[in-house]
Amino acid sequence: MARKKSRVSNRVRELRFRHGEMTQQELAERIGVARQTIIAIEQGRFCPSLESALRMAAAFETSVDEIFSLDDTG
Amino acid sequence: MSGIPLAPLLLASACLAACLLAALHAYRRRLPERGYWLGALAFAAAAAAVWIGLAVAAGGAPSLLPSAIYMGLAALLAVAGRRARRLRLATGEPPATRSFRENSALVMLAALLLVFGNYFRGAWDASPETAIGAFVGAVVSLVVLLIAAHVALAVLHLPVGDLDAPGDERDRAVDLKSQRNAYWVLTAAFWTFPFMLIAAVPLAHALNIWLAELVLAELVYFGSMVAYYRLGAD
Repeated sequence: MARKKSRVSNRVRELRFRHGEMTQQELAERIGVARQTIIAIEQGRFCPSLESALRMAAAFETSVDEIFSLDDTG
Repeated sequence: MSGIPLAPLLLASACLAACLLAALHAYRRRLPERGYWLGALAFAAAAAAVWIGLAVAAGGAPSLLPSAIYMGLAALLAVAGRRARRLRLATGEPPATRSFRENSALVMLAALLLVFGNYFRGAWDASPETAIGAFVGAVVSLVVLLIAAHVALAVLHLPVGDLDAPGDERDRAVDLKSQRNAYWVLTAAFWTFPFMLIAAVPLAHALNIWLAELVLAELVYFGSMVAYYRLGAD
């Protein structure tokens, strides 16, 4: 059975702006990563760990699946 | 000792020490630009101290090169201070999108390519004695180049808080994947050496091939880091 290629997309940038235009640095400090990691996540170049995703959900007062979603590309 | 102008030498040294202490204090108070500017003053004082010291040692007009290097570093710190102040007062996010670790990997890659590229160009067909001399020269050049490049990188990198920040999960992922890639090359390098000895390859050539493979493993490691940081580590 061929494994489907998938890509995780996210709404981090959108949610940052919805939460009082939170800066990348502020979000990075809240979840305990570097600002460059937030940039990489927003650009889809890095998928965070479950722990960071949960911390991010807490920072945005939402659930993880509101931030991240799986795009199946076949 | 009677000919040594101790007063200006002591004054320059005291100025250097005071400026370094003040720079450290300013850095801890999260006023990086003052830290940089005081550091620039310290280097300017060090340039004066070096010039006086060399003048005494030479007994006449000394070479200006060592003092010029210190003055160059002072200028670099002054520029960094200006950038740090602009950044601290700016309301937007800092512009640096590459972390210090990523820049460091880029510098390591470039330095290895430059130094060992030059070494292998010259030492490949050289006699063992010449090759050993060239190898020692390459290692010393690499160390000096890396120290100078990392000092410049640390001085110019903003925000300064990045410099002593521990690596996060992305850094660890990039490092692990890069090590895995380099490991394949290193394993191949390990196994080619006994085969080269069995095939009666001259020892000097075998050692050079082995060294080339070790350098290649390092290039793969740092090249992978740069690629994963830029293109993604997933």
